[in-house]
Amino acid sequence: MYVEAVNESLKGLPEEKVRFHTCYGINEGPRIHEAGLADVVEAMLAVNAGAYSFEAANPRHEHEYHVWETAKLPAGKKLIPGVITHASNIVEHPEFIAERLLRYANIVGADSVIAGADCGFSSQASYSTEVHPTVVWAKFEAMSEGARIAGKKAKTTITSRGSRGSKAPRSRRSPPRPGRRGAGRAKSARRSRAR
Amino acid sequence: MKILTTHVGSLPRPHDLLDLMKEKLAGRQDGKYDARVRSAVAESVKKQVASGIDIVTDGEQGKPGFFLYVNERLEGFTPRPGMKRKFFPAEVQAFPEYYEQYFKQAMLGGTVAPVVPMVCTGPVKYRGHAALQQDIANLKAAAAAAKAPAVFMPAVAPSGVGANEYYKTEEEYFHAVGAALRSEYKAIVDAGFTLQVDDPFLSDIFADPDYDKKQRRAARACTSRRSMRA
Repeated sequence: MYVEAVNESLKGLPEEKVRFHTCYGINEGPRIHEAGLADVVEAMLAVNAGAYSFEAANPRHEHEYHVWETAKLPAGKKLIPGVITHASNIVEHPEFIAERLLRYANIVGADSVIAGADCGFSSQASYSTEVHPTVVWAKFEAMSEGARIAGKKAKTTITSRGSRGSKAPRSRRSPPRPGRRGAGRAKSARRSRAR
Repeated sequence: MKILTTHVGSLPRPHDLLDLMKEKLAGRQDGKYDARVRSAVAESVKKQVASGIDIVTDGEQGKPGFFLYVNERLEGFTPRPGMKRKFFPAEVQAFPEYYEQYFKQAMLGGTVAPVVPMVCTGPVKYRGHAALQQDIANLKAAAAAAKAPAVFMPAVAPSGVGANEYYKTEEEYFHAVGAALRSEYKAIVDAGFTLQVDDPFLSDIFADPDYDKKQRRAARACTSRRSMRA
């Protein structure tokens, strides 16, 4: 019912000009009662958008990149995972941001990944934002550097593997988990996208 | 290869802009507000580009926040200051002392105006054309001046707007709000920007303690089937 209403409002708009963002409302908190991405992903992908932005850079949701090993991102669509968070004033290290990006690149291909933030840094106009304004800019600079590092590592693959070059080096990939459901499907999806 | 960078949209506003916004919301205007929003958008976009952001936006410099923005853009809603809404019930129940302090200080503390719940009390229509065109013009000018590689503009999803007391069913309500917001979505795309639909509600459905596992499965199946038909 709900996604149908969203799609109705987007009818006729080119998907590549639409991106969809979902998040959880609370910034810094225990956040133990939030839905996992695994619960939300099917409904999210049902929205007629060309890219999907979601929280992935905080300790409640960072592990959820594994969801993309089984969830199928349709060809041509992109993921915008949060690689910097709005829930902490710690500036993420560019190397760590690159790691986060490469986790996604390993699964869906680097050309299907855009570096993003978990949520907005001032969803209400406020004199006292949770992340200090000067820290926001430092986070952006770190993200830009992290994306550069990840892009370079992903590019290395072009020459070393002679493939399309959208993947990170094999050695950086997450090790396969025993008994992972749908791993075969994810692998074949990767292969078909690489072609 | 190049991995592009972007963010979600809202960024801290300069304090002098917040002062002017506060005056405007209190019904006092001295004509400086629009010009300050324009310059704040220009500064924000320039800084985003300088910080290495490839797909930039206006930082929502002219938007006071979700609820007030909805009231500016959509007809059919009434602010209800006394209305008690249970935000994040399971979380608050689990950590009442933490959230009592947190909501006061962090999320709602320091805002330019109190966050007042909105209730749909009449037919929903879009009325934000002028405000939206101003936002678009500000962002276009700022992006051109800063030579921004690409631009997006956020807009609220049909959900994020308030409780329904007018339409007979939630389905009817969501479709009415969606139809009204379509004007905004289309204008953003027509301006050459990428539209970002902001939707905290979707993940909320799946976190609602009243929503048991069986219903969640049904909701997923329902949304998928329907979108495939669309």
